[in-house]
Parts: sequence; C-alpha cells; structure tokens
Amino acid sequence: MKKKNLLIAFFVLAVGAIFAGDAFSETKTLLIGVNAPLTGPASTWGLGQMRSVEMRIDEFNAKGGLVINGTTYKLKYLAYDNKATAVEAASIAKKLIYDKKVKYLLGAAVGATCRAIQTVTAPNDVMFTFCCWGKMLLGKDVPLNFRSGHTPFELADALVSGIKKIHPNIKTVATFSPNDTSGWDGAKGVIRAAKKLGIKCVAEEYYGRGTTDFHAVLTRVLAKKPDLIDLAASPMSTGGIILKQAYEMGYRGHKGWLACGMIKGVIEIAGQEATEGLYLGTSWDYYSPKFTLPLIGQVMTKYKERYGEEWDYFGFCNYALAKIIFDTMQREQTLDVHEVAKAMVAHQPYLTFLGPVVFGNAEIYGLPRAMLHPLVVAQVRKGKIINMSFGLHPDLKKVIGDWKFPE
Amino acid sequence: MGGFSDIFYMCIVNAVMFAMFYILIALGLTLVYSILDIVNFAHAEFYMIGGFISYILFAQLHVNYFLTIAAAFLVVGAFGVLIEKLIFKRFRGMVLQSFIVSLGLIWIFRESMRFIFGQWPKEVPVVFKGIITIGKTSFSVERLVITIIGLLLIVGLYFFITKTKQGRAMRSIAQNPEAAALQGVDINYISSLAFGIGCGLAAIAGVLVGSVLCVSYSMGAPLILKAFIIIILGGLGSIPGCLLGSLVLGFVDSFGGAFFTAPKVEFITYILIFILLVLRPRGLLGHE
Repeated sequence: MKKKNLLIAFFVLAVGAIFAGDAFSETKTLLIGVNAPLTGPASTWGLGQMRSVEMRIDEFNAKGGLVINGTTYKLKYLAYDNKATAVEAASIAKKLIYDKKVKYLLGAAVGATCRAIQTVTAPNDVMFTFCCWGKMLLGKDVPLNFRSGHTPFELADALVSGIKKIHPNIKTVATFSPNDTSGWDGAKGVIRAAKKLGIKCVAEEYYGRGTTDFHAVLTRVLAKKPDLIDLAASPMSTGGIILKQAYEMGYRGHKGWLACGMIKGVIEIAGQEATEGLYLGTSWDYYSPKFTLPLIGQVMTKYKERYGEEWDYFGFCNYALAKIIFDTMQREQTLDVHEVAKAMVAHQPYLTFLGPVVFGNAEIYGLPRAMLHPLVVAQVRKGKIINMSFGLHPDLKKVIGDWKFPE
Repeated sequence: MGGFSDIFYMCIVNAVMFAMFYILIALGLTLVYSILDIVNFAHAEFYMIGGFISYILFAQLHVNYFLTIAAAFLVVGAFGVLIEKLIFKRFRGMVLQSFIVSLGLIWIFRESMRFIFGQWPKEVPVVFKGIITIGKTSFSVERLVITIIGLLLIVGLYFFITKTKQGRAMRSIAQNPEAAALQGVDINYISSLAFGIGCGLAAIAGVLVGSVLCVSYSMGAPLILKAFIIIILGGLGSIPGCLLGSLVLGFVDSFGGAFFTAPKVEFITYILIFILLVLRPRGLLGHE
C-alpha cells in the first residue's frame, strides 16, 4: 500500500512537473527597431541595413528564437523610413523608443540621421548600430553605439600604403567625395594617410549628391596632373561616372576608391577601360578562393536569391554584427543592453563569414566599438575584381595574431 | 591637359555639351508651360522613364538605338497625353495646383520605378564608342553625337512649331487661348499634344543620356531644378529664351566648375539668377 501510494505520488509529481514547466515557459516578442532611409537615393544603404536585420531575425526565429532565462523570445523588427532626413530620423527614434519600448536599434545609414538618432538613443540606454561614418558617432558619450563596416579611420592607411607600395612613384593625389559628413571623412582620411607617406594632395573636391556631370571639375583637377585619383566616399553610380568621364578626358593615372560598396555596378557604368587598375578597400570578389571564407559567397548568394540584387558592403557587415548581438544575448542570458555591450567586447574575436571580427579602434574613438575584420584589398583588371592581399587593423592583429585566410 | 588655353578650349566644349543636355530637358518643360500654363515639376521623371525604356529596349532586348529613341518618344509621349487628360487638364492655368499635383506624381513615378527595377543604377552600353582628342582637349564621341542629335531636335521642333498646323495652333494658344478657340483651334487636343511632345522630348533626353551616365529611379531629381532655372532665366514660356538660358547655364557651369569648387559654382549660379531677375524679372527673352 505504501509502495502504491509512493508510485502514485511520483506519477502525480512527474505530470505536475511537466505542466508546471509549461506554465513557467512563455513566449514573448523582442522588438528590434530599424531607422533607415528606405526610399530615395540613400535607400541604396538603408535597404541593405534593413534586410540584414530581417534575414538575421528570420534565421533566429526559424531556430526557435532566443531563450533567455526560460523565456522564449520571438524576434520581430519594426522598420521605418527616415528618408535620409535628420528630423524624420529623430521622430522615428522617439516613436520606436517611447511608444514601442525598443531597446535595440539595429541598422542605420547617413551620418546626419545617425547623429539625430543618437540624441534619442543615448539618454534612453538603447543599443544603436549603424554603418554611418563620423568620429562623433562612437565614443565614451555613446557607449551603446556600435558601427558595422570600416570607415576611413580603419581603411585609409591600409589602402593608400598598399597602393604606394605597388606604385612608389606616386607623389600627388586628388580626391572626389560628396559634400557631407561621410564625404569629408572619406576624403580627409585619404589625404591624411597620403600625407604620412609623403603624397601631396593637389585637389580636394566635394560635390553635391546627385551631381552627374564632372567635366568642368575634371578639367580643373586633371590640369594639376594627379598621380592618383581617389573617390573616397563616392556612391556607386557617381564614382562610376567620375571614372568614366576622367577616362574620356584622357586620365590614365592610378585610381583608388576607399569606400566602393558595389564594384560590379561601377564596372558596368564606367566600362572596363575606365576601371582598369582601380584599387578597392571595401569591395572584393566574395566568390574567389583567395582571401575569403567560403561562407561569404553563400551569404551573398542567399541575399541575391531573396532580394534579387547585390548586397552592399555595409549591409552585410550589419548582418554579421546582428548575429554577434543576438548570440551574445543568448550566451549571456540577458537582454540588458549594457551587459550585452560589455560582453560583446569581452568575448571577442568572433569568427564570421568576413573572417575574425573584433570591436576596436579605441585609439580614435575612445571606446572599442568599431567592428574590425580582415581588410581585403582588391584591384579591377579587365573588368574583373582580383583579390590582391589582405591586411589586419592593429587592434585586430593584437587579438588574432598572424591569422591568415585558409589557402 | 595643362595650360590655360587647353583649359579654356575644354571649357568651351563642355559648355556647349552642357547646354545641349540642358536644352533637351528644359525644352519640353517650357513648351508645356507656354501652352498649358501649368508647372509640371514631374517633367524630369519622364526623362527618367525614357532612360528606363532605353535600358529595357536597347540594353536588354538589343533593339536598334535609333528605334529605341523613337519608341521612347512615342511611348512616353502617349503616356504624357494620358497624364494630361486624366490629371492636368483640370488644372490648366492653375499654377499652384498643377505644381502640387506634379509633386505627388514625382513620388509615384519614382517609387514605382524603384519597385520595378530596384534601387541600384542600371548600366546602358555605350553606343558611340571612342574618344576624340584635339590638341590636349579630349571628349567622347558619345557626347558629340548627343550634341548633334540635340541640335537636330531643336531644328525639328522649330520647324514643327513654325511650319505645321499643329505648331501654329500651339503658338496661337500660347498667345491667347480664347482667341485661338474662337479661331477653331481644338484647345483640348492641342494641349494634350503639346504635353505629350514635351514629355516625349524629355524621354529622348533620357535615352541619350542613359548611356553617358547611368539609369536610375532618382536620375531626374538633380535636373528638375536646373530645368526650372533655365526656363526662369530664359523667360517663362519662351522657347528661344529656353535655348539662351541653357547656353548661359552651360557656360556658367563649365567655366565656373573649371575655376571654382562645386558649392561655389552653385552659389554663383543662384546669385546670377537673382541679379538677373531683379534687373529683368521677365527673364532674358520672356514676354511682359
């Protein structure tokens, strides 16, 4: 009788535990905000940012979402179009943070909008990731800001010194860049890097976004006979047009492009002859076995199959960053932004499809919040992109040592 | 390229080529304003649609280039007639209302093309390959051909306006719509025709420029302001004024760009227009 009672009690307890376990587990929604230009010329970057979050969220949800302290979180993103205007960006940020209680804003583009967004995110302890350039967007005042993708502060030295090593006779450089924060950062990064190597800047040209005819400007610049023209932060179509028109006007010197996000489109616009020999800092052959991991080709193919077009550099960098954030939440079993931010830096490096990634460059920004990955330097030859070499930022090298891409 | 004379000759070449490009855009706009008395801010979007027609027909389907130009003119022209009949007809003579409506059309056209073709610019192959070098001045054959085609279009439009029945009807409406109606001119038909021709001209510009630059859903945006500067400079509703305004702007952009930075050139342009409008409010060749 005693044995029978014990058995019944055990059976009841077991059933109770099953249902009790169910009662304590619940599913919640974790809202991720996206505040980016989804229409207009800047949508080139904004859509890439939004889709990076969309793809990552779909992947995590397909695996069951995030489980934090027994609670399952389905990820959901809320994307709003800020039309690349600061006022709209700030308004959307307030809506996401005050109305929707979002604590993670992942993905933004255009410097002016990022500055506007961070005036709302910083005082409200919201993690904010973006691809915008601008030194003031990272630092001790904004410890929850993280940037995906390289900027001139990470790129310029490596690219310009790489070009100078191959062409030691380069003595002068001319830069072309948009007349805004990103453009100034890009051009000044190149000029600063060039100056360190004894290369003199003979022309520093800024143009309004949307400019399509550069014959007049090129007339003036080419008269100064630059050995190297760098397109700094020029967008894809404009940079292609500049290369084409420079070629038509007789320029046959060296060419570099600090931040070309979509080189295939550039080659189509400018033509093979005009892009011959162009050095690139943020575009490379993702499908080449040289200086890449196989996974990057798979990622790019997946994106193209889903959205029907190529992915820009800054978009897929944010894709890598989003995974790091979600993985950190899962690993640390927390959604607290400060804990996640701290853990993201503490547990690096992360092996991603870009190669190993760390957060660094505290020397420039005051805090290690810039995402660093192996920098692949590529060159355009006969209409094809050839991966020439790769370099590691000092902060990345400190962590991963003499890491190399597998042969 | 090096000495001042080389730069000077290059500037002259650039100025003429700029002017021809601007004329192609502004001519249609001024024609529409002179006949219908409406401000079509969406005019540059017809130029953009023309560019996409060249992308589809010439770049993708390999249709003959000149047939592509003709097709763009006819298709966009017909589309323009439809837009005029459905939308702008009720706003003839109402400048503010037509302006607001055209702003809405800009967004509809742009976002539709972005939805269909994506946000990345599309490449149209170079039609007329080669570079011409005279001394130390170089320019592409393509731009030379565009300049020549532009001139032919201007001559063609001139003959149409002065020698054809429809052209004379358009001029009569521009002078006095009531009197034209009393003379038996079909206002509705001629207005639609003028709008269609204006849009068709913009489409031709889109085809010609598509291979020089690239085609994208936002390619019209930077041009509409220039087009309005030209028609204001030349005189609202004046076709000869439009030609002169294009030349003036072409020379300002070319010589200004060769000696000053882009922001300064824009500043100079607006200062010149301001001074001109203060001294001559009707523009260079506008009517009182």
